[in-house]
Amino acid sequence: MSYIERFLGGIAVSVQLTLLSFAIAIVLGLLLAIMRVSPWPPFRWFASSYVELMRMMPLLALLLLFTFGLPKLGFMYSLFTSTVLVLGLYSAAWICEVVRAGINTVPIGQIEAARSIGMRFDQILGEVVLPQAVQSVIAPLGNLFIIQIKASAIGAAIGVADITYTAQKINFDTALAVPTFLGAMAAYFLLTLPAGLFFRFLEQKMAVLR
Amino acid sequence: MSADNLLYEPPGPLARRRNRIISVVGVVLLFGFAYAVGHRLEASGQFDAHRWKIFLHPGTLKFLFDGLMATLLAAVISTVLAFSLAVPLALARLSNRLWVRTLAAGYIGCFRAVPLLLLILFTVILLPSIGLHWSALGYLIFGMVLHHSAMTAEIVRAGILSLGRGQKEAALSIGMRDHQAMVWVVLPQALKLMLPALVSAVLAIVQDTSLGYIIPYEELLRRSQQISSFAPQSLLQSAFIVTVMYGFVSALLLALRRWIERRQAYDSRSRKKQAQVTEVNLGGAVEVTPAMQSVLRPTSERVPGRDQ
Repeated sequence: MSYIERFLGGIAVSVQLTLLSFAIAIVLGLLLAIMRVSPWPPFRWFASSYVELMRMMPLLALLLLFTFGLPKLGFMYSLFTSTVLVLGLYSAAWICEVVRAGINTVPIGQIEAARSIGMRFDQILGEVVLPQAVQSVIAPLGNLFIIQIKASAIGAAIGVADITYTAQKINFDTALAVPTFLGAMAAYFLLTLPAGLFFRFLEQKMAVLR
Repeated sequence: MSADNLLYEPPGPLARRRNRIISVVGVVLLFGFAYAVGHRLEASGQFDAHRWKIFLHPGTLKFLFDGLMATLLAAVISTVLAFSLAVPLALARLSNRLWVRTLAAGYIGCFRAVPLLLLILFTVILLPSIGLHWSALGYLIFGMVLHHSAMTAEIVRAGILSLGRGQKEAALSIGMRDHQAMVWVVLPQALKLMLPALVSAVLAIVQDTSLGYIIPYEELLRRSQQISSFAPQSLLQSAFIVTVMYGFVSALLLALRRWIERRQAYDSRSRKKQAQVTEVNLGGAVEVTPAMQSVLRPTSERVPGRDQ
């Protein structure tokens, strides 16, 4: 019985990792996407080089850099925090790409109409483009969320007690590799399936008839 | 960059001045941040010569270079195996026979839903217990192939579905059998369409070989950790150099993808709008790896000027 409780503990940690890092990623990713379409070149350059940089680095390399590198510079925080930060910073780049793709799906006539009545950049973006982009962004965002659940397993590599780490520890204690592995798989299904359903529901709610 | 597609009017004199001010503030902020980081690094002595000296030694460079080669070796073998598994898997997933379809869907669903890290950890535990004692490279490749064949199969499936029924129907109508239509008509076109997505899949595989770190397989990331445990003062420096090495490989692949996309945009310019592997026809059912998220953006819908 206690093994199931340990798995539940692991699930709780995985959920926290995913939710916290995804919240960071959404805020940062949205900011980056806005920077990328803004009229100010330095912001555009910053956002696009950020996205490129994140795409070029393996997640684990970034995580190890944050966990072992930053303490050398005098920044100390827990393993959990650094995993959340790294996951958030990493997927912010993908969210930026998704939002930008969403912005590109808004019909050009909408933007021309907004410009022709004299709206400014922030008005066009905030009142015309982004509200219409939301609908086409939800499905890929759902995909990213499910990917985030799986990516949170990277925390196990540095010893954050998530599902993967718990499974590893239970295997050390019991040497029952197959049931433990199936249990961990079931735990991930338990998280990804409801997430998938939720985002599909959200997509239907947000559907705009054109 | 044509001015018509922007999210803002071409700036007049007033707006131009405002934009200039905001840009200057942006540059100052960026430089301020860079300066703060640089100062922090300087203050903790990260630029000191003794921290970099180890990398002037040819042995260290060879050590890291071998790590890079190990990474590439694992990536190449995984790519070949995963891709050659992915095509039959995708075909099975689209098969007319229910049991074939279900089996393939089960395989793909299982190995896509499980984090690669978990898969690799238990590959290392499970394979020896059934009597398969392989090298670390073997375990890493086994786990990667399981995961990435499922991932790539979904890309291939999406590519086949995005081609549209007409091609297959035309092939059938001139008397081809199902498999002939698939092999000679549908697959060649579909593979061409999904080429950029496949390059991104390769990029994901290259980056995922860094998970060999936990087996441990002596790849690039592992080697950088070994250097920093041998010379603790050079931790950040070895991380920096390894990042540059990964970045170099990734940049090559990204450049390849961009080149392919440009070629394809050029090819399809004269034709009417071409079906692409897009977010739209992938639908919500298909999960997209981060590395290919941007590929799936329909190139035909990309608007110049809004796409800096």
